[in-house]
Amino acid sequence: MHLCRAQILNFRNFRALDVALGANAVIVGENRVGKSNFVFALRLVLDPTLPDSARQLKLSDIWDGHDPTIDPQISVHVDFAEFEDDPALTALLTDYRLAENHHVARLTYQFRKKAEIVGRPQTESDFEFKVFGGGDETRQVKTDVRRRICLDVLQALRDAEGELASWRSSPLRPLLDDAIARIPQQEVTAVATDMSAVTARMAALPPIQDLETSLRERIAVMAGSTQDIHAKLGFAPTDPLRLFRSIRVFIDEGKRSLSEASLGSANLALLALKLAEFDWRRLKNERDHTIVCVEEPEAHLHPHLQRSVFQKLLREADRARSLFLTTHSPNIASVAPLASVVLLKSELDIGTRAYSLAKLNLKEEEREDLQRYLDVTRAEIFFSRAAVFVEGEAEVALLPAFARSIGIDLDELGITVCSVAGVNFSPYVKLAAALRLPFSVITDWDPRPPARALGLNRSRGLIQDIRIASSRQPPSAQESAALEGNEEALRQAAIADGIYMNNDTFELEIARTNGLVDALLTVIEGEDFGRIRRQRIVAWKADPSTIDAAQLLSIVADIGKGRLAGRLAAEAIGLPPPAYIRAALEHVAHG
Amino acid sequence: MADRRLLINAIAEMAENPEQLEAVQERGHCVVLAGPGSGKTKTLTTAMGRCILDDVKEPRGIACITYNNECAMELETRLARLGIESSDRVFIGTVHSFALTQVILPYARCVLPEISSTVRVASRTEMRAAVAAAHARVIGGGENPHERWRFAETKR
Repeated sequence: MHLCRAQILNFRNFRALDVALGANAVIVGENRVGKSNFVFALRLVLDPTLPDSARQLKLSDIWDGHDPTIDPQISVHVDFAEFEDDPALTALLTDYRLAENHHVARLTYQFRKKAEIVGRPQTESDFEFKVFGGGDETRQVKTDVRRRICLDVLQALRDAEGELASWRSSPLRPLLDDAIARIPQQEVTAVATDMSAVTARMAALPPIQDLETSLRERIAVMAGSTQDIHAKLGFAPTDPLRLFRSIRVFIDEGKRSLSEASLGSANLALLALKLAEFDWRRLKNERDHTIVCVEEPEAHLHPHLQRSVFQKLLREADRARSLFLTTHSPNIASVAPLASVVLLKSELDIGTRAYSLAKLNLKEEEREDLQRYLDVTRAEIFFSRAAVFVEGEAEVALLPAFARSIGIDLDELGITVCSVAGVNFSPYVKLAAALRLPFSVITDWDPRPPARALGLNRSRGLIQDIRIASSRQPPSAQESAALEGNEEALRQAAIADGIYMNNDTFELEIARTNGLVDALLTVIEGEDFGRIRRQRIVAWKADPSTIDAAQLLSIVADIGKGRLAGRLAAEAIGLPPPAYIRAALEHVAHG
Repeated sequence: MADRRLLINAIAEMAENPEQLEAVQERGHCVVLAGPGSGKTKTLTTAMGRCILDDVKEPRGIACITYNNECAMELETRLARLGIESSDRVFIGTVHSFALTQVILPYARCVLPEISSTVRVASRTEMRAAVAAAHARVIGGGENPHERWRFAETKR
């Protein structure tokens, strides 16, 4: 079972959020976009520890921009899918199936004007909240449901030590109690007896004895003999049960206590104990499913730990548990499985919107490609405002310089340049379209006379992918056939979808662009070539129109495309780029 | 929830009757044939108590279904002696009430969205009023509509 959809209406940052969710969810977004409010909205429906006083919201919780002519109402709908293979979950959720799709169960929280209030509601007391299921107000959610399908918020990652130190809140408590219950009574007593002996030996040491006596005297003076609290120095309480309950987690093979550990280690211990506690509750049939909710786990885990811990947890299938993380850490975003990623973006006037990758339609190898790209770039694209997809490292090296030449600062505008290392743009444009990220594709026409140019089918395929991924009508068979026969129409259609193509290949376009060609020849002139090539380069410099494409490409290949581009980037400052690149950059920079 | 001590006693009382004991322990389908007063109801209620304690774990539940309200009340009384009462996890009632509360009410909206969620079985007063109204509209005249209804019921 998992949460498959969440809708939040008129609540804080959200006017109308509607988001599809996968088995786990990693909510990525900048600060103040509403990540914590998203979690709180879920708690309104699912958290058994949230008191009713907290469920009674405030007027200030209503979305600022709500329509003043109608009574404001906050709704949170949470949908569950794939619960039917588990009889216990089916028993809990079957009453809340949706009329329109009975494989999905919905729980709803609503905050709205009381029925008896006439006219505009004035204060919070004019409002009431309701929690119901199946989209049917008369169907109250039984308390069992929240107890057994439980949202557990691990806020303690901010204060792991405190959480572990107090017996009441420690996740170690139920586990330890369970373990103690399985120890034979005589063993418990024997350990307690040994412990008493050791304590007595320690207490008999004269300096300790002196200290204890002085302490007792002071207390006696302050409290009088009838109020005495019988203080004693010891390692742990000597009462057998209390002794066992004083068992704690130590680190470094028992040398140091957890409170001396780095915050990272303490959090790791807490997380491990919490997960053990959830398993234990499931085993004891107290719970059927836990939604483990961790807000900004990066706050107190260092980057390598973030990556390894959450990579493991997010990819490990556990039917009784789902993970719900909020983060602005690229480290966590980059290891999150694509289907779990939800990007929150704040948008003017319409509140925060969510873009989910749960329903992204990818082939397995495309998914792997993207996952690798996200990992290597630390999920840069999730934090960008626009993207330019290019074929290789040469374009990546040169594009920032080109952009500066035409007055565009890619970093300042949050535009990322992404190499797809080849020509398989398809998964990347699908990703960008799903994130509703403005993008352009810069690709070669790659003529192959007498056969057709490779760019032709490539761009036709991409137009198709882009339209489908951005929920628009793909070209009909008829349109597609028309594009095949008409290069100019195809180029226009491609540009309309953000695909910019040259007439040949990247390097040759540079050699055919005024200004850039001189920079290019200056760079290759500096290389250590034989006499013939050197003469050739001198001749090209004198008259660039004599450049021979095949010869140039062979020189470029010898230098290495990436290395050449790196050097050219330094020479190209202030020089205008080829026209198709300018158009692609302007497309993303100016929308 | 069933009381295990009461259940153990009930099972102990069956020590003399191995077939009855076997029926109580059965985990699959089971048909019990016996004459009146031989302990069928006792077998059923004990089996149900054992089942809810040992076989059907929370949050799942169990239903005990019979033909008419008299039988249902009898079952309720006998089950109460084992500490079992109607709850979210225990249904005791007639086949009609099972169909209405466990099938039609929860799921009708998934199949027939036009059915109101407040549908229920009419009370006696509501039924009499409906009979009188229908009689006045279709048959009319001076006869007692309720006598006519009773006659129709026996003939049905």
